[in-house]
Amino acid sequence: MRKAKEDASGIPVSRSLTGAALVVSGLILCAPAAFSPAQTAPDNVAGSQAADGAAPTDGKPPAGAIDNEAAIRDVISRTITSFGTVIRDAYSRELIGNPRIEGEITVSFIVQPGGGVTDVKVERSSLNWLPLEDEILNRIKAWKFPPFEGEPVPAYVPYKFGQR
Amino acid sequence: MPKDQMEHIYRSIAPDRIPWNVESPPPILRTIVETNTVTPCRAIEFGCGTGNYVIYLASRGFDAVGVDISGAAIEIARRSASGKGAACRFIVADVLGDLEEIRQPFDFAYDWELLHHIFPPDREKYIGNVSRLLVPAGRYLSVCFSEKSAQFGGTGKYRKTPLDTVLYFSSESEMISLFEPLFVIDDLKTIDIEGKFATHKAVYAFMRKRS
Repeated sequence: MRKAKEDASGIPVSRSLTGAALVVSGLILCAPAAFSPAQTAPDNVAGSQAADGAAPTDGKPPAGAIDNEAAIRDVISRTITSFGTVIRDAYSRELIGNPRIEGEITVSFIVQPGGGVTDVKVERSSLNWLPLEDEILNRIKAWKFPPFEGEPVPAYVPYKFGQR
Repeated sequence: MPKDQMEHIYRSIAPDRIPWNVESPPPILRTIVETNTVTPCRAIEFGCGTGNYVIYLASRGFDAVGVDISGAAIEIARRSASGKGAACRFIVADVLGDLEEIRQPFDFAYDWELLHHIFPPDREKYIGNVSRLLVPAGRYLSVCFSEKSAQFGGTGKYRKTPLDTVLYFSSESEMISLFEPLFVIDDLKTIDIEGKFATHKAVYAFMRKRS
């Protein structure tokens, strides 16, 4: 039997890359997918989206903010991937109350130029455990991205949770 | 409301042949929503079946959750919501259980043709769950078959249906006794509701959770 190493929470994990997505497997499968252009394209995003109140400089990017579209998507993608640990932590905590939670959830949100996140919602889920879904939404609402210049960026991120 | 029986129905009968599976939301629910009697909020349907009304609420801006005992029904509901791009959530759970799968409070709860599947000995437990999951003064709509209904033999409190389910037919006074300890009843009446194959008499109750 393959022995997985442990992460900071003491939960065994192993990591591998599958295409563009970071796949974390072990006791927990938590795969925040990197963005494809179709998933993050700012087309049809209304410029009047309410800015995140917590965003710096009233939602407007400061001087020196990222202004290259490809770079923006890359930074957002990598930031979302790095936040995977936050999602995994939420899952770990809910497992204490219900060790049987598993399934997939796809969340959507809009990254504002100021770095805040708005319009966070569950697009679909098979987790069958609303407390985890709500905790995931709450944690994403608190995310802060590097400010950038341009239109708000919509994101769709699937996470997969499981045990083995 | 035997789980196995519901599971069998949803797995063996095409959705468009299931008598209670009506895609368009009932006029009563639409009126409540479209007259802003209840404005977009956190909403939950108990006994949502294939989720048609939950999807409707999501399309109207509600943060909507559907609960059903049948995993087969919820599979259909999730596929349907995904196909329609509706951001709503579905949970497989027994409304007579502890409902730990849900936990969050809601502003609006409803059950449409669910309560006649729940027999009197279990009803207090169910209504307690509804109350527990609502915020103080949260609104609650419940509609179930009336004992005045002429369907399924036309008489008797317990009646068997062509699908072999057994339903309990309620009176308005029973509803008052059931709801009043936990809810303020704003409106209670016996109405006609359109089913897929027949019109039914039903008891309608619209309430607020006691603070």
